[in-house]
Amino acid sequence: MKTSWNWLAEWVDLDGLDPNDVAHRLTMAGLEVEGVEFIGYGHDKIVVGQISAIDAHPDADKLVVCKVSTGDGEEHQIVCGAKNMKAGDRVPVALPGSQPPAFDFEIGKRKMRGVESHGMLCAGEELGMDDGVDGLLILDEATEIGRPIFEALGAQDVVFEIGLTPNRPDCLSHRGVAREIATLYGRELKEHAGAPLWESAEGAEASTHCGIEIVDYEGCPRYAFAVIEGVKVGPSPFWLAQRLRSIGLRPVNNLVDVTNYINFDIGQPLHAFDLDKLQGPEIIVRRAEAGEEIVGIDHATYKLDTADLVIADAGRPVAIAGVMGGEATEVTESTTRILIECAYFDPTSVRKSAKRHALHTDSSHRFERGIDPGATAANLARAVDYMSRVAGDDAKVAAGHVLAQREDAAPTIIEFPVALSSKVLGVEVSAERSVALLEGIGVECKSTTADVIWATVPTWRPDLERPIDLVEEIARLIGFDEIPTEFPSRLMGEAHVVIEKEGAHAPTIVSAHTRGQLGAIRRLMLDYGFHEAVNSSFMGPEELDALDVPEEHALRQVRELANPLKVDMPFMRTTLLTGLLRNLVTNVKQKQEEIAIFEVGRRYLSDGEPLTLSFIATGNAARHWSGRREWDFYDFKGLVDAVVGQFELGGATWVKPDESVTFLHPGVQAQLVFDGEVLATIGRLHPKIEQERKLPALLLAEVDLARVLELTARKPLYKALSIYPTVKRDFALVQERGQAFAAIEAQISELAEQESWFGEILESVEVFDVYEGERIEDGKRSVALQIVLRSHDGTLGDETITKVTDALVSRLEENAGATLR
Amino acid sequence: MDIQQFEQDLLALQEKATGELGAANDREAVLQIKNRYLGRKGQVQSLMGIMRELPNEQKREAGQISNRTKQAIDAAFRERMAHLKQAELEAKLAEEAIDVTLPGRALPVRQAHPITRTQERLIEIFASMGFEVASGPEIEEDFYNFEALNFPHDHPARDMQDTFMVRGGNLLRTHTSPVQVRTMLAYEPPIRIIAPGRVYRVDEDPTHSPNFHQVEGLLVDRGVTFAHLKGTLRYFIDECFGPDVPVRFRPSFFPFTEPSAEVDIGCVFCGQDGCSVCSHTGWLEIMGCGMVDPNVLTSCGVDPEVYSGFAFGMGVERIAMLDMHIDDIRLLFENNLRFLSQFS
Repeated sequence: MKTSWNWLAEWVDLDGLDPNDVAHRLTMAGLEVEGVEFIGYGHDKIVVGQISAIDAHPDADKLVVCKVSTGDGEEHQIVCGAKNMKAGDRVPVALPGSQPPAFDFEIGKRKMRGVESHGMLCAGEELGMDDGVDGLLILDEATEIGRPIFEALGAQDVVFEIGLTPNRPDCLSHRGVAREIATLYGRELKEHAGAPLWESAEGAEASTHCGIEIVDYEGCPRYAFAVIEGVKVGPSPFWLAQRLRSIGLRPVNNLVDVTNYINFDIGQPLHAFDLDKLQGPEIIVRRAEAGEEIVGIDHATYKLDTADLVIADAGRPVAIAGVMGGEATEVTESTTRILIECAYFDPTSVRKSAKRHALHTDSSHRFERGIDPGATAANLARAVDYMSRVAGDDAKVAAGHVLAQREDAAPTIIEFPVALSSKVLGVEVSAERSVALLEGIGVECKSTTADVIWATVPTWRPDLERPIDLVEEIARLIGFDEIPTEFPSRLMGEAHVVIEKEGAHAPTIVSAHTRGQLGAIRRLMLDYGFHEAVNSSFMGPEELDALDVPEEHALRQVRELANPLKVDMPFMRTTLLTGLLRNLVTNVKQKQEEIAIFEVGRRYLSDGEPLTLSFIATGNAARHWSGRREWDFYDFKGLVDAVVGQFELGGATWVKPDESVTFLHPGVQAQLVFDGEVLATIGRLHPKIEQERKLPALLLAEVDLARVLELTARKPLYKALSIYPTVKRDFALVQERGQAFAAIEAQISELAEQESWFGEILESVEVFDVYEGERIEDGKRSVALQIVLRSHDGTLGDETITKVTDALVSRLEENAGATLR
Repeated sequence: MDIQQFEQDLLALQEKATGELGAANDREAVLQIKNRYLGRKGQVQSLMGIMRELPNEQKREAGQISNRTKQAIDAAFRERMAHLKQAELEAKLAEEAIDVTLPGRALPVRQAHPITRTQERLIEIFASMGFEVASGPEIEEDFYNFEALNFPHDHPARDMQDTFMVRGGNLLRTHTSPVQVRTMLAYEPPIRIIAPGRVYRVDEDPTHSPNFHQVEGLLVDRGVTFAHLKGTLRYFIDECFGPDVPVRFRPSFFPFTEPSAEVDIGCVFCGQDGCSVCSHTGWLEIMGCGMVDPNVLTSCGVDPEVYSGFAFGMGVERIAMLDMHIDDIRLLFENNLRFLSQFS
């Protein structure tokens, strides 16, 4: 909220205070001053001048040549394009070397159509005071010639931009901020309460002009109005317009401007109705009826909900309470009689209506946060006072005012244990000091015993309800710097024993062990050359379409946002691959050819948010001047094996999925299956997709990390080292080209399991070559294995080795269709 | 033939042999020369035949003379062989020499993403103070994200966090604070956790991303005060930003803490002289914190008469951006390799 120094000065004596210091003190008291803007300072060369003569320009119809005196004894010749001035007028003069606020360059001496011009005569707009006048800002005749213009206009100001937290509605006004300043600097808040004008008014009572019925006291605990007749709608006086301009509001007309002024002055939203347009004898505050509509002063039509609180006349709703008035009863130029509404509406009700109709107004902003419920009549009096000052000479306040309420607003009384401050803050605050601090912000304090204060909270502080709320006030008023800096020593250095509560609440603590495993997996990927990515959790249906994901597929079982930021990204991701593919596209566009990235993050499924590892790669896996090697399927397989390698995975197998993963190459894809569950899927992106999306050949992997981390960590046990040498035997096996190596592998492990004499000496099996081509029959391939044998009982003799060879060869021939070459 | 003659002949032979050996340039030739002189039918052997002609009393001396000659030739042979072997080795080494100035095979060692790296660092600092790491769901219930945290329904405080709603009734958590609630409901105090994680708000510009990360902290025990909060965070800031950085606690408002504060550190870019990063204030806001509101403790089944606590939360991206001088948050989610490589 913008807050003007000059305006604040109406509420508190600011003499001798430095705006920057005030800004700092406010910030440190919880009213964060986000900006301090000095207005009208540093413009000493824009001064008040008087036009002594206006002559025609010899070469331009639209320009005139003025002679202007600015009190420096010189006659300044200035060429001007405006028409609204006459000789003798006092106007703002921007002398050479000055820079009016609305300009981004300096005014200089120059020739305009051949005539010397030594400066510029200014319009209000050029000085940052948009007065709606086409032409120069014509100043009052009494304005002192030669004075800097902003000084002369009283338009020098300092504007604070205050970022208010929602708990401080009392500071949504100049009076509220002034109250804080008064407290912080030990000054008095000025009171302006004189007798309301309606008390001395004669003639018909306001209540004879209009009645009031509150149907819904819950929505509207308090409603007051006053009536002014004989008003004349017109532009606001300069001081009022200037006040509003200083906080960034545009003046509209005198009546509207006063309602805005009062809103920002004391935080009381008002509404002025044209009394002649209100139908019927009274105003009714009620909920809207089904099917009712209202056209707002913004000319938009709003279909009302039966939960909307409205102000209605005999025939129709005329305002959405606290949010916006209606067009039908709006003050216009022809208005002469006005009814000024000053009410307290229920914050929740206003908030719901404002949300429902997407109308956030200065009025609803205040009602939602809670205005002062105890000042309705006083605020109305101030509004009437200001209105009558600007509404024309014939304006006449009707006698009395109307106030409907069931009861006065009751202040909150808090039983405050003095010791609570030290218990919460860790610093002793005495009863005397607590009382002084609280009274400084308007809390009335009474003590019955030494350790309790009975605190009566002013009605303008709806945020103060509990003892802890008063502790917060005390803390911010003494300043957080006064609170010592200590360690919570009871816990520091002590082991943290985690004790789960009885009951069904899921644990939240992640063990250091699990974090360590996760860290190791991440490190593995990084060390293997993969960059780490962090992607948005959102994905779009088009991304799934692009991957040819079938309608009923699990990836389409998405959680969907009701209010996505981007309409094409409404889903929570069910795979990390969509994000990585976006990254791939980004990088391909940047002409990157070697891309290897991984992400560890959550997928969002109907039954949870499993942590997932995904990675993709294209281009070279290794590159050096001596040679290069591209990523291939087996890199990915090896990587997944390494990732899951720290866990017990007995019985896990790599299989070709029964049903192909649609977005992967049907012949280059595999899944790691453990206990019937898919732990990982890897493969090459389907060439069709590569082609359609103009992507390079690409490998992808997705690992269900959550499931992997649940597995038992592998715990290697020591086995005695045999003192006997190994025997290595190579076997070149020929098998049909379509047959899987897995068949050979399975037969060897089966043999090892069934024949213990073999199992005991089998140390390792390794594929060292796979070959097709010359000297191998068409349609077949050769797989070369090295088998390493070693015994604990002695050096292996020829007899045993022959036995192994025979057993293996015959078994592979019979059961795996593989023959020795 | 007398013994003098015999000795002279042998010496001559020795001289000839060593000369030849010294001139021979391959090991084969050296071996042949050796055999020619020292072999069974070699020249030394044939000269030895003469020994028979010498008087018996001189035969012993002659034997010594001839042994000296044999030894000398053999020594010359060995020396030559060693020399040639060495020369051959040197030639081979010279041949095997490579251009050591060509680039090595670069190990593709990467570093974690700036967000992960920063998050890990924050975790490490708090873990060193004994904080456990906790986590909770991102698709969250209103109760945990708002209600239990003292955000009433239809309260303007909810506007502070523009919320993504999930069809079917849940929402995307707007902060990591629901993990506080879940932890207090699941464990007995004392509780000392940090909750790193991803959070969401409907907001996007150079400093806001709809997805971002927070690290939340919660400590609940008997007798915890705001002074303890200050001490804990001062230690954190010393570790994270260096011990000399100015810190200030500024009153603020969060529904779930009271009193609440924002923590500012002296601008690390301008040393508090004022710059665009700190909006010329000299201060950078890095985290929010406060004493856990009694209403929150009660909602979470913790008796506020017995226990008190503090909580704090910070944006991981913000700290990463300050730390690594990154000026647009979107860079962190684009995963441009040119960006990521800068941190490797």
